[in-house]
Amino acid sequence: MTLVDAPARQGVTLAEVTAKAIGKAASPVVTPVALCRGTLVTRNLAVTRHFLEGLLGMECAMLGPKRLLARHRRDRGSERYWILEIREVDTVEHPQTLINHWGFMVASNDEVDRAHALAAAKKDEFGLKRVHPPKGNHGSYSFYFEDCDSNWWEIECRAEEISYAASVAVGDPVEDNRETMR
Amino acid sequence: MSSDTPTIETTSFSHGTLGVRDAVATQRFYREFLGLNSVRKANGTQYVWLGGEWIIACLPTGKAPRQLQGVENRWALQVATAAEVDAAHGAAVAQAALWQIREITPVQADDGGTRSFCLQDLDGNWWEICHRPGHLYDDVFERSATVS
Repeated sequence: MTLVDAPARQGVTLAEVTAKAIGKAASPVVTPVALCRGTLVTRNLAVTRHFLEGLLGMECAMLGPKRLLARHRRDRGSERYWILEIREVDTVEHPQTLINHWGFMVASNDEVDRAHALAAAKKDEFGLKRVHPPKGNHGSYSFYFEDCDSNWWEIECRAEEISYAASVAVGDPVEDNRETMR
Repeated sequence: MSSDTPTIETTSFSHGTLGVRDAVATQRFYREFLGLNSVRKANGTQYVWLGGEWIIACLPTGKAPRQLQGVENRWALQVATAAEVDAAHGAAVAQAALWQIREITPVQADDGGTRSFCLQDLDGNWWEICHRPGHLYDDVFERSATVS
């Protein structure tokens, strides 16, 4: 049996997909209202805040001693927004890899190239360890970079037909029966 | 205070990623225990979301051993009441073997009314189930804006 993806549906939003209960269990054990936050650590909150605000344009606010919150500045005033919580630690016990990264969208592939050039040029100012070159991958164009605490970040442009919402709007993969139909 | 002219002009904070060893078993846990929306793709990538225009891309890592995540790198799910935190904790303890939950922390409460606990799933990723009074973190950002 081979599984294949149904054709993506363009122009949809995740809110529309969610409203149709796509990918949702009927009666899960936990019934959360939102996936609201991701967390990471830094050895220097001031450096990380400068990076988040100055490089990525995040809105930051102190949650408490050695705890910082950040959200995308376009989410200011929104009913729903996703938050990063950053905690200052003495040592990063679990350095992250590319498998665990945070992603931001830009408007075009040219914007990816522009962002890459700026990140590379300001590598020292923002304490970046590595800035990888941009790469294309089936409609996505992006580059990754690593901050001074081994957190990984991606700047990406995705074609509309492979937007995240379009990708999930068609549900789980389906069986490819073409061979048995012959 | 946030920069008015960031170096990179992004349009959205769109996604985070994590590693998954068995997409089918993990999807069952995400959907049926955690209550997340989840869709798998034919290439093994799985997408998870709930309540917003952001998404977690769960990337296949194969069965080979890899470093597990620490609780300091986790994903938080907001529930509607403090009682739901306790109920979720009880369910996690009772069903740990069924869902291959590796570790469960005790429920914690702080002075501000936040109640939460964390669990480490079958892939070694950490999830926080929490309740915080008020709407998300509006109060924190509003206070910060006022100070600025």
